[in-house]
This record gives sequence, C-alpha cells and structure tokens, in this order.
Amino acid sequence: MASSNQVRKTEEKLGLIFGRIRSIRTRLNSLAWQRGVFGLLGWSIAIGALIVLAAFYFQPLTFLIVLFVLSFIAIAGILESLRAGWRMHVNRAAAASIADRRADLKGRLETIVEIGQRHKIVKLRQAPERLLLWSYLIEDTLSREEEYAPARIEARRISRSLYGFLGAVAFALAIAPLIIRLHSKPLPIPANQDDEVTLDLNDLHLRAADPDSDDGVEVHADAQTMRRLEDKLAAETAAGSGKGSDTPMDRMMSHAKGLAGRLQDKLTGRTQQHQRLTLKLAENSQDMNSLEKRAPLKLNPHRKGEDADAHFEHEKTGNESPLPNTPPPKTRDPEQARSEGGGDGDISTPEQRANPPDNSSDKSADQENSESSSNGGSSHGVGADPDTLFGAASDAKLTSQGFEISIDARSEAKGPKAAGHAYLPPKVRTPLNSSQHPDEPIARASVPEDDRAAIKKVFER
Amino acid sequence: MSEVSALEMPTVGDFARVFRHIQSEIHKVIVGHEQAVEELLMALFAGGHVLIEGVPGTGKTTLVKTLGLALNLSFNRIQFTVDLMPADITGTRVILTGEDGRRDFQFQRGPVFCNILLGDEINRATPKTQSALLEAMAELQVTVAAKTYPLEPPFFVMATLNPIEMEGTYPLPEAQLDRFLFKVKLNYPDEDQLIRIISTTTGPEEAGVEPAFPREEASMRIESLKKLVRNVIAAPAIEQYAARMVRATQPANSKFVADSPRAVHEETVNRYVMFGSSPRGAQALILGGKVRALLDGRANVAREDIEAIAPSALSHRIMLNYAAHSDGIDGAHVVERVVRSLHSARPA
Repeated sequence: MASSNQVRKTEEKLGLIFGRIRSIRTRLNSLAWQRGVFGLLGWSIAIGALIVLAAFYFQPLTFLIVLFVLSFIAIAGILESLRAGWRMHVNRAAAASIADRRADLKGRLETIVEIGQRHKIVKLRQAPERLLLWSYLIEDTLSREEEYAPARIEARRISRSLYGFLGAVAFALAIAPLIIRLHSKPLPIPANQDDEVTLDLNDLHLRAADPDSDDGVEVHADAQTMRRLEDKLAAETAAGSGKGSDTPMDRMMSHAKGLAGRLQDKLTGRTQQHQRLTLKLAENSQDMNSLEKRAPLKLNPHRKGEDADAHFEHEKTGNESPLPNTPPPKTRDPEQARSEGGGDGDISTPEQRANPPDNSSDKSADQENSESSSNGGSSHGVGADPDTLFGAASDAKLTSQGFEISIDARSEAKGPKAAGHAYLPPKVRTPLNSSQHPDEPIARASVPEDDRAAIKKVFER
Repeated sequence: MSEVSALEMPTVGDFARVFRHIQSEIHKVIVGHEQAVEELLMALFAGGHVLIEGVPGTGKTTLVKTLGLALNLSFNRIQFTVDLMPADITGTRVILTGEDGRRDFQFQRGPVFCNILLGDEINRATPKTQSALLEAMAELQVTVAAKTYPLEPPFFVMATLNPIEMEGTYPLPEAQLDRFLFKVKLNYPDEDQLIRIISTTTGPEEAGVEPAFPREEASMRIESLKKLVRNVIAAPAIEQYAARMVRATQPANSKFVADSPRAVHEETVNRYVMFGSSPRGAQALILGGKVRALLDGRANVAREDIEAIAPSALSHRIMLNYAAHSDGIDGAHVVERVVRSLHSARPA
C-alpha cells in the first residue's frame, strides 16, 4: 500500500494539473461566450440596418415581406451563433480533451480528469499496482507542464467572431449617412397632384373606421352632407357585407399592412409629419349650428350646390415641415391671409372675408338655409315642387368652395396608408383651352311672365 | 504459477525496454515484417493469441520459432493436416505398465502443453481438431477424459493460415476466429528486404538469437509484464470509444444489434457486413491499446492507440456477406472505414 505521504504528494500534483486545466477551460469558455455575444450583436446590427434601409425604400406590403425575410435570417443567424457558442462551451473533461489534442499529450489530461474524481482515486488506492501507474501518469503529465500552458493551447483571447461583429458595425456605419439623408430628404411629389383635389362622392368608397387602427379619415361636414355620407357608408357597408368581400384574410392583410406602415413610420420618423388636409365640399350647408356641434371644423355656409363633388385643399397644421411625398401646402400671400382673417388657421371664403361674421346675419342665413333645405327647393335639379320651383333670384356669388373638412391624411402616392385602402385617383383640374369654358352654375334668373304658365304646365305634367 | 508482488512490478520504462529488446532479437532473423513482429509481441503481452495469415515462404514459421527462442520459453509446433485428431493436440490417456507390473491409464501430454504453440496451417485440420484448441486458448486448460489439466502460463498460440491452396481446407469457424486477439498479415518482402533475407540465410553462419530472459525467469518476467499491461489506465471515455467502434462494425439492420441513438453507422458496414465484431473485439482494442501506451511510455490509453490497433483487432471478427466478396471488400477495408468515421465524429 502506498504511504499517505506519497498519496498526499500525488494529490498536490493533481491539484496543479487541475489548475492548469481550469485556466484552459476558462479561456476556451471565454471564447465561446464571445462567439455567442458577437454573433448576436453582429446579426442584430446588420439586419437592423437593412430593415431601416428597407423602411425607406419599400411599400408597406413589400416592406412587410422584406421584414419577414430579414427577421427570419436574423433569427436563424442569431440562433446559429448562440448554438455555436454553446457548442464551444466546454466542461473540464472536454477542456482536457482539447488540450490533449492540441499539445499532443495522447489523452493524458483527459484520463487524469476522468480518473481524478475522488471516488475513483479511492478505488485506485485499493489496487497498489494501479496506483503506481497513476502516480507515474501524474508525474509524467506534470513534467510536460509547459506543453499545455493555457496560452499554448489557446493563443487567442478575443474570438474571431469579432471580425463579423465589426463587419456588421462597419456596414451599419456605411449606410448610416444614406439613412440620415433619406430621413431629411423630401420624397418626390407626384406630378399629377395639385393643391386642390376634387373627388366625386359617388366615386368614393367609404368604410367605417377601425377603432383599433389609426387608419382612416375623420370627416366633418354639415348635417346634410354628413347624412349623405352616412347613407353612402351604410349603402357601401351593406353592399360589402352582401358581397362578402371583406374576408378575414382581407382584414388580416389590412391589419398587417397597417402594422407595417406604422413600423415604417416609426423607423423613418415620419409619424409626426402627417399633413392635415382640409376637405372642401361643394355643398350647401344649412345647419351650421348643428355642424359646429358635431365637428369643430371650418365651415363656409355661402355655397349652395347640389353636386356631390368634394374639393380637397391641403393645409399644413402647426409648424410641421412638409411631408416629402405630399403636395406642398397651399401658399397664401400675407395680404390674402390677412384679408381672410384666419388667424387661427381657419380658412374662410372671400365672401366671408367681405362680410365679417355677424351673428344675426348668420342666424338669418341659417334660417333661410334651413327652410330651403327643409322644402328641398334650393338645390339645383332637386326641386320638383312647382310651388317652390321659382324662387327669388339669388344674389350670392357663385363659388366652387363650400365646406371645408379637415382630415388627417398622407399623400397617397408613397404613404403606407395608401396601400391599405383602394386608391381613388383624384379629379384633377386641367387648364382649359381657348375654345373651352369652365363649368359654372347657372345663375338663377327671373322667369318672364309669358313663359311662366308654359313652364308650370311642364312641371305639373 | 508465479506470483509477482508489487515491489517486483516492472515500470513503464522496463516494459518498453524489454519489448524493444525482444523485437530487436527477432529482427536478427526475421527481415522486415516490423509491424507483424510488433503486433505479435503486443498480443503476447496482452495475453492473447495471434492468427498469422501469409502466403508460403514469408517466414511465418520462422517468426514463431524465433519468438520462442527470444523469449526463452518452451515452444511446440503442430502441423495441422486433415487426419490430425484432437488427441494429437491435447494429449491422450495411454496404458502404461508400471515397475510393479500393473497397467494403468496415464495422461500423455500433447504438444499443447508448452508456452508457445505454433499451429501451422490450422485451416487444413477438421473443425473437430481445430476446436481442440478452443478450451486451451480461452481458459488455459485442457480437459481429457473428464479430467482438467492446467496449462503453464504464459500460453501463447500462433496459428498460421495459408490464403491460397484453399482446396481441402476447413475455414476456421467464427467462434474460433474470435478467440484470436489479433490477425497479423505477412506479405511478400520488398526487394531490399529480399536481398537481406538472401544474405542472412544463405551464408555459412546463421544469425543467432539471444534470449531476453534466463530460462528460469522467463515465465515470471513475462507474466509480470502482462500484469503491468493490465494495470494501464483506460479512462471511461476511451472504453466508450472502443465500445462505440465495435458497435460501428455491426450493421444497423441486423436483428442481433440493439439500436442506439449514439451509434455510428457506416454505409460500408450496412452494405457488406453480415455480422460485426463480438465484445471480444472491444477487449482486444483496450488490451492492445494498453500495450501500445506502455510502448509509448504512457500509463494511459489514448484514442490513437485504439485506432491504431483496430485493423488487427477487428478485421478477422467481421463476417462479410456475398456482396463484399463480390466487390473485393475485406474486413480490413471495413474496419478502416469505421475508424475513419469515428475519427471524424470526434469533437474538434
């Protein structure tokens, strides 16, 4: 039986060898951690930069697809990096095995680690011949201490994955100026977009706004116009449900596009740059009070008309810079602005400017409008009642402006919300040539006495 | 049987020195065949037996005789023929008349009672005779007429096989092949070796072999060296590696093989192997690895030892199918593919 002194010396030497193996293991595991962390950061940075770049260049649907693809690549890359890092992680036996191979120690360290467990050493003590060889193995291995110094087993302290990480950072830095330039550069304005856009109500597709989504337009108008809009909305909803066109897939796609759009907004920083548009309807407003109760909007009650055309006038709100892909706000010269008296941003018609707001006149006008609205004879082409067919000739100056409805909207050419709804081309006013005359409402005139009876007969028939 | 105490136990250095000395003595007579000689001695110190396969005239018998001389151990040779009977190997009871005139059955020891036995062209004897060696090889004893006779250690069997002239031969059964630790191949010598053979064997003086041990110490010394081999440390990971290698020689679709998620399946094995190595193959790998470790001055077995010893330890334990014979695939080729697969499966 080996003496206790000899056993103690052997265990001391064993401790020295274990200390070396611990150092090797620490170094190897440090590299493993670096592999995982650098991989994680590198993939995150590179793919993140690509996503931000894609947010500037792609439409929401394309961006959504690109986002999915890039996210998948990023997740796969990150998982692979973490897996590689985890696989590089070694326990004591594995560290010894690696040291054996790299120092060509022919399994000495691995054997020592595996046999060096306390219960196995106790077994060894019961077999003196084997303990003799065990001591020999310890001595032999310790004599080769220099061969398995941690620096010789693993010279690197920094993982090679650092290069990948630095590459990703360099890539991100390289495209950073481009992103900054895109962030500040206005997008090209569509050539066919003007300050004023005329839309036909009959051509509009209306849809109730999703309360969970900030998509959609808030519309304000007079009572009659709102009623008509509501009727149209109800009709469209009924038609839509009847056709079953709004399937769950459509809704899901719409939500996805909305989500992608909002994400794009956040990435590109355009969320706060929405333009406030003023919708002007060529409609006669007769219930200003009720309109004002319903919506705090700019209203011009002077215009009377039956056409359902709506005129959009873009108006910038606050001091926000113009959105790159939206038409520039309608510029007014200071004198005109002064004459409009719209210090609070309200847009007033020239008639309003000529006749400053007067409560009494407003009331009378409201009353008149209300009456004419109630008997229905004030609208062109609507009055079929022979009794009210011929009213007094209106002195009101005809104008294309009626109501102004403010909406929050974005340019439909590039904005992500545009892809979420059916695109409706705006009616564009084109310049007239010399032989053309603009469409103008026919001025109401007094009917000659001789013709009255004949006209009345026609309508009575 | 010699008892060797711990104090008399040779060291790792002693083993390598004795081994190299015996090796050099053998090479005084045997030209070339370095690997064969080394594997022969490894099998001896690992406590196994060797099957030597070689064409006629390659020095099989000379090699074995020289080994016996170098070790200074008792040596017998049996020329296996078709009419050889088991009793011709083990011995038999004969009626002898004593001095008092009484006749009595006495056991007459056969040639198996020696330290080194050469079974020349073992495949020429019938299976019954071949099997006579089984008990002696595995258990170091002979049973005749219900009486068991122990063999004196060390007992080392070297059987030779002639791969040509196969007519009238009886291929060794798998059970007997499995009892040989290694199968060593002797090929024709190259030109330089042949010139040396001519010069050393046709001159007036024959090369003499100097025994490594005195006659009376030889058995004990060899037994102590064998004990040292057994004490070499094989880590559990190395034992696992040997076990995995043996399992890798077994075809995956064999009904005798239990599937394991960690098993390495080599396509060559599945295609050409009918039966893989038995557990004795794993024992041979570890024992051979231990001898190799000592020769390298180590007290532990390494994976490299297992890989180096695998062709000799496993190739004769693999039973190939007809497709292998048709495609000219032998056991050594299969083992080589298995070793390569396992080596590449090792962590970097």
